Amino acid sequence: MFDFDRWAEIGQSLKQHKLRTALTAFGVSWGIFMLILLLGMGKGLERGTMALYQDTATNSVWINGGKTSQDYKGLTPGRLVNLDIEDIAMLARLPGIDLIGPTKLVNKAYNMQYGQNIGSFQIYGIGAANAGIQKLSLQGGRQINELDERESRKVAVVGTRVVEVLMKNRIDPLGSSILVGGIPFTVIGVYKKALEEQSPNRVYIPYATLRNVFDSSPYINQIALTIAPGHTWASIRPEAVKLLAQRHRFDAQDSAALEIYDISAEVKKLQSLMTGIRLFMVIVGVGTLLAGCVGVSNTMLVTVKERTREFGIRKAIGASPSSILFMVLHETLAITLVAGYLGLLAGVGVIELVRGVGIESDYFRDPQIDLPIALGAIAVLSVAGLIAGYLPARQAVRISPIEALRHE
Amino acid sequence: MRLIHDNKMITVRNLTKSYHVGPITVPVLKGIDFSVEYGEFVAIMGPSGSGKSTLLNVLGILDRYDEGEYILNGTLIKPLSETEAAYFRSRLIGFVFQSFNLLPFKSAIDNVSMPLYYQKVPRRQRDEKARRLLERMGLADRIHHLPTEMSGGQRQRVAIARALVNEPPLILADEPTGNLDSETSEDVMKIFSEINAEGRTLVVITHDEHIAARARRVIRLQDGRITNRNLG
Repeated sequence: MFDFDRWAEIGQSLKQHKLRTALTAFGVSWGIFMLILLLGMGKGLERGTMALYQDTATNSVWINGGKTSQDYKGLTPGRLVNLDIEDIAMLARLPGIDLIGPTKLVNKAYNMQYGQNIGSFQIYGIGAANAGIQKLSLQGGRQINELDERESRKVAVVGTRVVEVLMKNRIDPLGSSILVGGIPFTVIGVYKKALEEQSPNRVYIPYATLRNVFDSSPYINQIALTIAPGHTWASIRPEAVKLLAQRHRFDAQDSAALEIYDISAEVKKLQSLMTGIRLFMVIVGVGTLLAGCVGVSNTMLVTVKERTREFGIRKAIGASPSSILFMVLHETLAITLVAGYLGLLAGVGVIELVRGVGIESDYFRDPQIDLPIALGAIAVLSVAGLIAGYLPARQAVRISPIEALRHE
Repeated sequence: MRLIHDNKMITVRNLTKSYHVGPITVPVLKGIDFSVEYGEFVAIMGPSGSGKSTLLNVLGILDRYDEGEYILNGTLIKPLSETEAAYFRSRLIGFVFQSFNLLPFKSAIDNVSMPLYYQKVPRRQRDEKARRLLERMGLADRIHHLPTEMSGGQRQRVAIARALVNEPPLILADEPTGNLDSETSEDVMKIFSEINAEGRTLVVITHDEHIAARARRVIRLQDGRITNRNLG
């Protein structure tokens, strides 16, 4: 590989056809460029999609009440299933459930006031455990905790939009009081909007406080829970649904009675989708690369044909078949490796550029090529170069010196 | 391959070769017998189609023969692998062709040193040797020129330097003056005589009786047979 004479020979013969060499090299560069770009962007897609779940424990399950669709003990279908706070206590006793908490949403929007500023926002009551299930990313302050819940404290975690409207972003909202429906609440935290569809318009308060102050009914809108390690929702679900069905009198087989979102299943689905996309991208990328290599092989075949006389002369003056074989292989390998390396650099460059510019959306962020992929690409290139060079090299070896020298 | 100590550069016994053109077999060499002593200068003459180029190709291990024996420098040359053939060509034989057969993209010195490259001689030694030979050929001022920048006579002298560079005991030349005018031919033949005087064996194919006159012996071929059996 580090035989300077060999490299000098290669340089000499490639220089004879600069344009052809450049065009051939471009095919390979383009192939590896596309491969790297596809893989890097694939990574971005994966990260962007997985970021959708960054605020939510990936082992969480969310249960909403639905509408029954089947008869049950003389009861007609079409009844609403209203979950209530007793359900939380009941399900909490099931083995395999780790955190569990309610979400209750006040039906009407309340006016909130700070000084002269007034805005209308949605109030959510959540349990202390919810902080561990839906991990609101806080810009500052803290989450609602056990003590807030137990003492029904009048504290609130508010969205950035709330701070914007009420405080005009001019003062530190933490520790200041806002009036919620005329009742003063202390702002203990501000959450930032992590995702497009997440509203910055919410005010979270302890569930107990909500019940005391705004709505004493036991009904809740949603049960949020996480699965303890070593368990799966699939193993807990039959028992959980059976208990809820008994309490709310619906058929445990009635799938419309409860709306259940199992995040781990969603994540798993997405992960397999991502694996599929990645595989597809590898196939497309390798295909493009292969096309480039076929181009190299083709060009080298033409080159060998054109250089029939040269190979004949070389053989007549003592070149062994293996030296001819390696000469052509080496040439092909040199084109593919140099061109491939340039394509690799260009691909990584574009990806870094996208990263630098910071293009981000719900489904795309932080594209990257990891070292193993780059090394893999180099390995694929070397193999591709050898394969691309083998046929033309064999062709060159088969040239008979007499035929070649007769060939004027 | 078998070692035979017959003390001759070349021994050819009852050598035959045919070409196969489709179903037709065309015999080209129909039983050739001759030998060449070490240090001899032999000319092979004959009309076109007499088989002299085929004979030279066989002698140069560029082509195979069908029957008979060819012993080169004490080694029986019978079907060799490509690698073995390359080895013998590289160690024993220097070729000079009618159309020079220089690589057009290489300078004179690179063309001359190429056989040594295939013998894995280090670059410095290769260049030194090639330079000395080119100087000897009177081409000291053409060392870094490309073949296209040289006259026919100069190109043939580069080709002769290339044939000599690995110091082969045998030089095979196929119409070496065929593309040269008579004056330049004379120069080239003078060089051949010098080479021969140094003790190298020389086998030259030629049409030119003047050239043949310089040889110690002339083998005349006609229709695949040697017609002058008095010598060799």
